[in-house]
Amino acid sequence: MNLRFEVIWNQLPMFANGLWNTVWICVVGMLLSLMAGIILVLPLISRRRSLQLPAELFVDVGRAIPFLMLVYLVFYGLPSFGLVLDRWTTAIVCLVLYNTAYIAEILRSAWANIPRGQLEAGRAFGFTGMGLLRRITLPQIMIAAAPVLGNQLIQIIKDSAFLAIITVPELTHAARTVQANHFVPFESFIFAALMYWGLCLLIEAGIKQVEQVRAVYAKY
Amino acid sequence: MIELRLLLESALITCFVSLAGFSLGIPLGLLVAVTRLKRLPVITSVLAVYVSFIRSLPLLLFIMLFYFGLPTLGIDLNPYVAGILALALNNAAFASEIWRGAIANFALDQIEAAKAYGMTEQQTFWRITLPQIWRASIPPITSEITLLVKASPAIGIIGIDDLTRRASTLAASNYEPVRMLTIATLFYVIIILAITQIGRMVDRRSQRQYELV
Amino acid sequence: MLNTEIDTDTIPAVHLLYLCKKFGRHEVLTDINLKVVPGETVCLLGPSGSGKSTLLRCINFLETSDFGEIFLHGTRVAYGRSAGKKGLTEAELAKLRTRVSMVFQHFNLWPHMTVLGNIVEAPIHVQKRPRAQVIAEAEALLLKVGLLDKRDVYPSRLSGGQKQRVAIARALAMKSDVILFDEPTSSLDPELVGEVLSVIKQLAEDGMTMIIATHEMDFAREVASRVVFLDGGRVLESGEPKAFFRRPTTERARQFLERYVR
Ligand SMILES: Nc1ncnc2c1ncn2[C@@H]1O[C@H](COP(=O)(O)OP(=O)(O)OP(=O)(O)O)[C@@H](O)[C@H]1O
Ligand SMILES: [Mg+2]
Repeated sequence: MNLRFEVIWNQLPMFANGLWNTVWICVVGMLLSLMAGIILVLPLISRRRSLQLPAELFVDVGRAIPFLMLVYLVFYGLPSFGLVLDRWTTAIVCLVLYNTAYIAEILRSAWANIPRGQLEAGRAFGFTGMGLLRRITLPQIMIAAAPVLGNQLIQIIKDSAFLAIITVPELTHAARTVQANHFVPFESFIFAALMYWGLCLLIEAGIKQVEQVRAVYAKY
Repeated sequence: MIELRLLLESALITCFVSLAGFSLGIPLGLLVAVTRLKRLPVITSVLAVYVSFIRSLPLLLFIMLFYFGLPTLGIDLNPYVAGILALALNNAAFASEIWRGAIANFALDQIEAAKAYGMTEQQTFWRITLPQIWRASIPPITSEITLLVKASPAIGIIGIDDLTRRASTLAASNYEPVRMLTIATLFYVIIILAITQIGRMVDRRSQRQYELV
Repeated sequence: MLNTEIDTDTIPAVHLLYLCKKFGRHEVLTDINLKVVPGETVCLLGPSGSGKSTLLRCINFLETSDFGEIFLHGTRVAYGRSAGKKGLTEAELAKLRTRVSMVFQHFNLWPHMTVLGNIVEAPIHVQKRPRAQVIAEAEALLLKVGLLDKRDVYPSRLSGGQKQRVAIARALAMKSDVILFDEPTSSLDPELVGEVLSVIKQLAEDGMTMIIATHEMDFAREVASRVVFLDGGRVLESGEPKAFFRRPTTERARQFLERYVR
């Protein structure tokens, strides 16, 4: 057994490029699914059953489909309907479709845990509809959900590795390419693994920071 | 219809591999959790690193590391063994966090009561703590199992013909990609819903047993 | 027995006529008649479950009454089931709610805003009053409740008594006709009750119109211009606090007072 880490050193630009792609795809995917999740949570928390039901169905079914399956459906299935997406678009579309259901559910359960009195106080002071949502409900949902949303970002990063299979040049794909060209499977996979680890530790540190800031003004 | 049979067969493979994965992973997670709480000098920190590392590792990469990488270190595994082990080790890391949380939240006064009645630490764990935390952990463990099933398509990369891989090869070969992929997706939805239902049933049963409802 | 005939020319701030409220088939309020004139401090007394909270919530439209009428400053705002989904829209209800403000038992401050933020939130964003003016008023109110130094602190840093004083300032900032208090001191530690009650007492002396559900009998005796005794969802007595505490006319009220006053 001889490990050849110098190959990794030489291929560093490749890994860096993969890491960068992973980061931006996931951040963009996260932001877009956060927006979609906020829209989807409205019917979920509405009192009207006819709005709730379809949203619940979307969330339940959405969370029962494996990410890779979704990628195949979009990448190989949509062209049958005349809709051909390139792999970058596929990547973003899949991340957003997949995570919206999770994020909506995260926001809904954060909403369910806000003390009712605070929302009621909003109504008692004359807030309604969008005003209540924008000034009172949503800020509290976002504060309560912040750490869980951080964890969801980690989940997105891990799921995004599947995009290597449709040759999106993200981090896992970079590792595969290096190993295929230079026959250094262990070295390249362990190196990519360490990069994922570092990325997630960074996000976890960020979550801790957010929790500390949050503790200053809100007890949850 | 031959395709349907092929898809069903691969659905069974997905079920089998997942079942094997969490049957190993969940007890292993318990072992990790209990060992970490014992505060043994080196082992505790090694396990902490293991849990943190695995939790941030994409399963796809982990499986490739296992199957393609380990031979470099002289360890050669059959794809099924590699796939199941990777799923189990992955699942164990997440399950250990659930167990650890449950044990940490377990009421101290009950443990003291057990001690007062002369139970050893071992007896306390097996007779008092475990039966109760097991019950509390059913819902999070259930959702962890569904996550395992949904991550299981990663084993396709080392050539195991699981549901996703089979669906994609059929989709590529018989020019009916939408139908193949949709059927496979339906199978997943059914499997996941079945797991959720079983989880709820077990949860309800255990609650009724202790007359909590 | 019912004291609906307070002789005064002024238009009542709140006037309830035969108000009824049911939860499902359980009638919680029955034929409530109540007239509160400007400047009055009415204390609602009654055993737990007698419907005090429900009555206040009906006046603030957080609950929809089933029958009867509600007048605010002479304007009929609810009759029959009209205050519900069928009659008034949510926006109209919201507008009415700004004319009656509320202090809750559990404060219900918004944890994501500072003390000042809590106070100016509704005046600026609901009533659309000019920002600078609202802030100046809010600071004056904070001074009044003795918490100007806590202006930029978040609610989680306050004691229960301080929170409730902020909540009172928040209610005052709405400049509404009436303030409703739902057991403002019953979730406070005993040593913090005094500071809140003295703020409310000051408001009473200033001539603020208030309806206060409370279990603090000494406070009611001292501050109320009138006490209303509620039992089983009905007004059993209504009158001068001195008379009520010395010589209640109903047997139920006598039993109630025996338990609470020593
Ligand atoms: N949302 C609700 N649904 C059903 N019943 C309710 C609801 N709110 C209150 N009730 C019932 O209405 C009755 C009056 O309750 P309310 O809270 O108004 O009493 P209260 O006088 O404020 O009591 P306390 O002194 O304990 O606060 C009680 O029997 C209560 O169980
Ligand atoms: Mg009450």
